[in-house]
Amino acid sequence: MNREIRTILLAEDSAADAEMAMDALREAKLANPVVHVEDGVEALDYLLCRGSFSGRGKGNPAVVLLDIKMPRLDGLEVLKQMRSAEHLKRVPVVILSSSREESDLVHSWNLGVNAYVVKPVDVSQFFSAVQTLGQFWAVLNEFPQE
Amino acid sequence: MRWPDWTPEFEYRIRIVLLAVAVLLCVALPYAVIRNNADAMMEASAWVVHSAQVKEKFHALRLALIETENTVVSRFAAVPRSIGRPDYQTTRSEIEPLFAELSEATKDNVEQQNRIGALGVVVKGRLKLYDEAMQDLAAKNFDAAAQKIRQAADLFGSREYASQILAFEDELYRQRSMRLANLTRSSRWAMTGALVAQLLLLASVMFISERQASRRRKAESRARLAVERSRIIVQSLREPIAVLDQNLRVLMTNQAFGEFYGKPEAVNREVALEELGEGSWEGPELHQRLLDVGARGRELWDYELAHRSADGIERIVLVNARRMELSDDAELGDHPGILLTVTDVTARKRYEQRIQELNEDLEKKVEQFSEVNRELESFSYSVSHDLRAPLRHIAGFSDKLGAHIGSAADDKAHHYLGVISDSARRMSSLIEDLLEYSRLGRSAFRLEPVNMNALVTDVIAMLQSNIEGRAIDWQIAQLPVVMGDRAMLRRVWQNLISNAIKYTSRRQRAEIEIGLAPSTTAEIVFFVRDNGTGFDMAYAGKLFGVFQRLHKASEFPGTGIGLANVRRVISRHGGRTWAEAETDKGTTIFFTLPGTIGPTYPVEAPHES
Repeated sequence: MNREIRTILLAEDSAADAEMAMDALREAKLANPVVHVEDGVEALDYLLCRGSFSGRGKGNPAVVLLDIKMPRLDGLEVLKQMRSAEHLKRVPVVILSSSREESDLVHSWNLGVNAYVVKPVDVSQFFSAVQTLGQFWAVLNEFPQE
Repeated sequence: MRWPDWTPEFEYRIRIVLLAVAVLLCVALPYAVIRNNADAMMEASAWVVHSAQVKEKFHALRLALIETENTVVSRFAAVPRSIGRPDYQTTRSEIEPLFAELSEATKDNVEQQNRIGALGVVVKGRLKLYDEAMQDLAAKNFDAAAQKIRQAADLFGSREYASQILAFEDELYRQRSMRLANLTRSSRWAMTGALVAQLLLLASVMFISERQASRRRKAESRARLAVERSRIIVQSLREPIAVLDQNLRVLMTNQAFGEFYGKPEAVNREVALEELGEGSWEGPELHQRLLDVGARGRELWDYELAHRSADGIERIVLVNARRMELSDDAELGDHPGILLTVTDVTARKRYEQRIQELNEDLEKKVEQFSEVNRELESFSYSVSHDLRAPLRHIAGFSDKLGAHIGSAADDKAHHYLGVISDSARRMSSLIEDLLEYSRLGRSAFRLEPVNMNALVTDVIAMLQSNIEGRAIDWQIAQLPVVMGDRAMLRRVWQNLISNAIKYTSRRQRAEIEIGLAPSTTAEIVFFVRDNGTGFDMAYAGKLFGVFQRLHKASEFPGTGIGLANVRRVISRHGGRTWAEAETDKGTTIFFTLPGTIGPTYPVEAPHES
């Protein structure tokens, strides 16, 4: 099956978290390139191929790993806009957050998130969580042809 | 056909009909019978008289005959004619008219007529012979005359006929008299019967009418009493009440009305409403509305007015008015009046105003409170997100640093990195606990019936991994169903039971008892008792504080948030929490929830530890 390689989009404002996540994904040795954006606006720019991403190749990412608290536009707002855009409706979104606030959980699931993961404090747990997510969404999960 | 309903009206009609029938039977029927009887008697009596007349005529006839005969014989015997004696022709001339009368009188009876006819023939023959005898006598032919006189007696003997006629008429007379007597007797009986029946009828009519009159008297007295009662009720009501006529003149008021508008004496003359209460009742709109009530029956409902009452206080009143028929007699036609009631709602208005003020205050406070709550919310939200990330980085990167420097660093360096990482983790779990504590204080509270036994069983099953390989004697009493937030109460049991498991971990045989303590107030007292390490009661006051611990973390792990959470949840349910313990003997944690248990519920009394 001729399967195109999709990207993994990581939206994370914290450089430290981003670094750990990138390290974890690198260690997972996935074929998928990881694109890191630092806030919600950039994430939408990437997804909608506009702004600094206007020249990128076509195609949606295999999964969007989305932090909630980000400057300018937060993760929940990005999720909301994705779910209301026709071609982004089915893109898998995993919230990767520091908090397990009930209101965040309820809000995310109401907006149609695919998974909600609380970032573990323990680094090995953090690594295995991110790697599991990468493996699952980028390798195991199947998409319909667009 | 359907029978009419048995109403008093119907009964009355039936009674009238029955009375009419009785009158007819007792008066008209006897009248008819007696009348009929009287007619028959008159007739019978006429017949008796008639018979007597016939007899009398007959006797007169015979006398005339005898006299005629006598005159002939007297002549023959040359008896000198005495003065006043009738002569032959005179007596003879009487006979025929008498015959005619007799014949006329007996027309009704054929037999008698026949006999009289026969008698007539005999008498005629005899008279003829007498005439001839008289002629002979005049011619002095005495022998011939004597012969003819004899012949008259021999040939024309009338005695037999006469006695037959008389006997027959006597019989008729007897029969007719008897019939008259019978009729008289039966008529007397009929009259007596009628008299008795009429007396009875009269008596019963008198009885019925007397009974009805007595009933009417009773009803009238009852009605009088009812009217009097209503009057007393109206008079003693504290609501002012007045009755007006159509032109808004006051016909009647109760005492309260008089007191309210400063006219304590009941208003007897017909005052106009506006004259009362110093202008309280003026105003064209009210006036029109009240006139409408009288004229069109349009009810006035809770019309609010500001009145100055007799004591000079400004009052808010509600005026109600409805049309009321004043005339006692419906036939006299409509005579509508207006029933006016006044309700003093000044106090109510004042309370309403006060309540409104209090509500506004409360709303302000709620506003402030929710403002504080919102701030708290955003505070805990930011703690949740922002405070944990750096800790994660500290822990993460110290781990990575450890891995990075690897064997290049000495044990001490690794130990330091370990301390940094552990501290970060511990702080993270403290933050986690604090956030949960805060959440328990502000999250929405949903009351529902909660089966405490089911909850305890669930929690123990959930903690099963903690008690693998432990010997624990569980004693769990029958617990009631309470009203509460299921998730929060689960948290309570989870904390208390896991504490009991934790602090008995050094016992060979742990005993954990969950039960109810007797209570005299309207609350249910639950307890969890263990035979664990216990604590010194001197520190009991600190037990339920946040992050307060009575044991070293090295002995028993934990942050010290559990009992603080328990207290918070129980407080939110309106209950209390306290503990009893003895060092190395065990701990009992009590908590209460509002409510009562039915008397039949089995309660296991807790034994002293």
